[in-house]
Amino acid sequence: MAEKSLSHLRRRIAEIEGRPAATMERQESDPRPDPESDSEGREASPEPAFAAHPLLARNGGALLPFGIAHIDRRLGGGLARKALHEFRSPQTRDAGAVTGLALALLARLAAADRRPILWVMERSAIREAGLPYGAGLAAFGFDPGRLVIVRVRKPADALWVMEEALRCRGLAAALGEIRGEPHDLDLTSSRRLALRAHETGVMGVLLRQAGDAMPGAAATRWLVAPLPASVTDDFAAGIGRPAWRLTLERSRIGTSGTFDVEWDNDRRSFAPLKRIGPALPLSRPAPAFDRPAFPADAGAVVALRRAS
Amino acid sequence: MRLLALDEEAERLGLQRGMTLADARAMIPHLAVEDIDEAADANLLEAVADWAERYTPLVALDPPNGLVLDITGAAHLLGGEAPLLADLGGRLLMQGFAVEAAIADTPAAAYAAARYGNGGIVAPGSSAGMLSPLSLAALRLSHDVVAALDRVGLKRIGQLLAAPRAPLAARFGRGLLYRLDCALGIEEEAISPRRPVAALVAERRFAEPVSREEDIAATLASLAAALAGKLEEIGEGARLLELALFRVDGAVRHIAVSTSRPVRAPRLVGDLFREKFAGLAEEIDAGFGFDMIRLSVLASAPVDPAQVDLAGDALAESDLDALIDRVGARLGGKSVSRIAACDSHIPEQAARMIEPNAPPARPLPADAWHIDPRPLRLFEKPEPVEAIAEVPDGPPIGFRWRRALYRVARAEGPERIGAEWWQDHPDQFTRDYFRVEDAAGHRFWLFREGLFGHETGAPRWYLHGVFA
Repeated sequence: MAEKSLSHLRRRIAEIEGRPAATMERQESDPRPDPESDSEGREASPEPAFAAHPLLARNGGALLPFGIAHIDRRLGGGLARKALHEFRSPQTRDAGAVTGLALALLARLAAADRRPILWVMERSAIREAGLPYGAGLAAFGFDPGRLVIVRVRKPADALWVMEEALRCRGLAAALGEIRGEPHDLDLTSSRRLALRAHETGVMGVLLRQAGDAMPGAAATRWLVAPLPASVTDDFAAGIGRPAWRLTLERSRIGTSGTFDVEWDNDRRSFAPLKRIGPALPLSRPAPAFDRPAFPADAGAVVALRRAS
Repeated sequence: MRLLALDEEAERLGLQRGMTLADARAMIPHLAVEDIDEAADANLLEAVADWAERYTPLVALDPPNGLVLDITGAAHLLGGEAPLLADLGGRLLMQGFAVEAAIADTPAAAYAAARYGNGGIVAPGSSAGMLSPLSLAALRLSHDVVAALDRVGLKRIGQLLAAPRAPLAARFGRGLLYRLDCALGIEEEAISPRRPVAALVAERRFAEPVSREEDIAATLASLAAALAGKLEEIGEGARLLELALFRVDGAVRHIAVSTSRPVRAPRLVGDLFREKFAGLAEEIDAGFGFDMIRLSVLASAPVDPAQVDLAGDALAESDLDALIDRVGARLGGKSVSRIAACDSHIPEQAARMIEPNAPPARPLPADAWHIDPRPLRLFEKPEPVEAIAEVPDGPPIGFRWRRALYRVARAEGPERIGAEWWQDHPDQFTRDYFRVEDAAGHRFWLFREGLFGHETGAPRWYLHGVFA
């Protein structure tokens, strides 16, 4: 009897906190080894029991799955749509990769939800990594007509627009791009964003360009780094589908992991990146033997603020 | 140097406009003089004109020191012409101006009465009587014409009125009679108001000035409610709203907000102005308070009845429109945009940012976008890089971008994009675009500008965008 009411209470707490209750219960009641520690190769392993949990079933439409079983399993079925998710790249040069991953997810969201998506960008982020390019978005599988772009001067303005956007039920998602670690982006502001997203169901995506890990209220935090693309079938020397290494640094349900994925822009789907042999030799001259063809890579490269 | 303007004291001492400074100093050695600042004078006149809009929306400038107000149909708001003139004169006097004001049938007659006559109110139809004793300069004639008339003994307007018209026109030109007819109201003379007249206006005057933010917001809400009723009657919604705050000391602050869709709900109007106030670069200085607040609809458009529909989609759409308007009000209208395809093969011109609710200039097919490899993000200006290529027209094998060195592991290209030769830009070169990937997997879009040996001897490299 006591167990039953305890379990009921836990479920209630989990519901309030907006996370799948089953993980907690399962961890306590199931002595089997955690399926999450399985190798990524074991995708065929049966779905864990919590995927069929009534709470998840009720929120079934409110999840955005990657479509890759072993990633979705760690997320409890996919990314919660009624939540804030953070994607960061440690360096400015990775901005393309982190933008790509976020837009790939939103392209999957846009396929199911016809509402527009708002993207608020801070001016310094635009200066460092450029503006979204319509033709490139279309080629990537994201309809540029669905985007509403807001360009702002300061991080504080970006956060304000993002919060307003998350309150607007006319949107499918709000994407906020912030560069670095501005002091306006603290735990309080990110909790506000997360609460708004939870209230309205507008998915919040925080895109952090050249940002270090910071405490935040995001349901998941991902570190995105580019990977060399796989080889396309028809053109061996060409650059294939975009590929990234995703590191789930933090999640509300306490899982983490590193995944190599690639994006199929035609089918708007992710696929696990298959390890391939060394890239085919290119028609490039052999490195000179008596002198370095290239100077050695320098240490950590930091973006310097421009003088003007 | 000459004296251009005098204060009362100087006039009393016998100084005159046009005197040289040396003469004036000879008369009054301790004379205080200031250099004239025409720009500041013009600004002051503009400010006074702003203030004068409390009487009528039709205010025209008469530089350097005059204003023309068309008070047709506006005088009764203050209880008639005499109270209006007294109110205007009194308020300007309190602000420290010396005022000569007159009300007459025509702008020209009012000008003559104010500057050359006794001012006050010229009764309708009595312009000729008022003008007769005045000198010819009151008609705003050129100096040559006045001098020429003077030589033939015509010094007063009355003499002109009595003289036969045909010889006057033959001798002094049509301009003279035109000016005379304008003053008498035979010819229509239009004044050019500084701002367009608002389609709808709601205003409130206060006996005691208000300065608290809540009071202003409450006034705004009631004005918006008044306007909403009027807009509903004509079936329109506001696209451009302007709030004018008239401060007691004469300063006027105009704040305008524009909307993406016609609105009339007072709550939405209130929200828009609240965001606008929050985003203003400089605070509104209430000073000793505002004694009049006016809300005008400067532009309106018919409201699509479908928008008022309570179906879910329409509501969601209007929700987004309200968000766009709020953001635009706070951060500036240009901050919100959408991406539109353009008919150009030059990459940076193939897409541009348009207003969020602007209809496409030309309907483009659904597959308007190129399917060629294009970067996800494009730099506003291509960033110069130092690239090393194996052969002058081959792909790069390495490049330095923002002081960091990248080694190209794979390259696709070139995709040759020619300049718009038909538009005659001799400085535009052909570009060879390469999609490259470095060893770590960063994918970039580089181009070489200029065909080696044909267009330039030293092609330059640029990084134009980043891929996912």
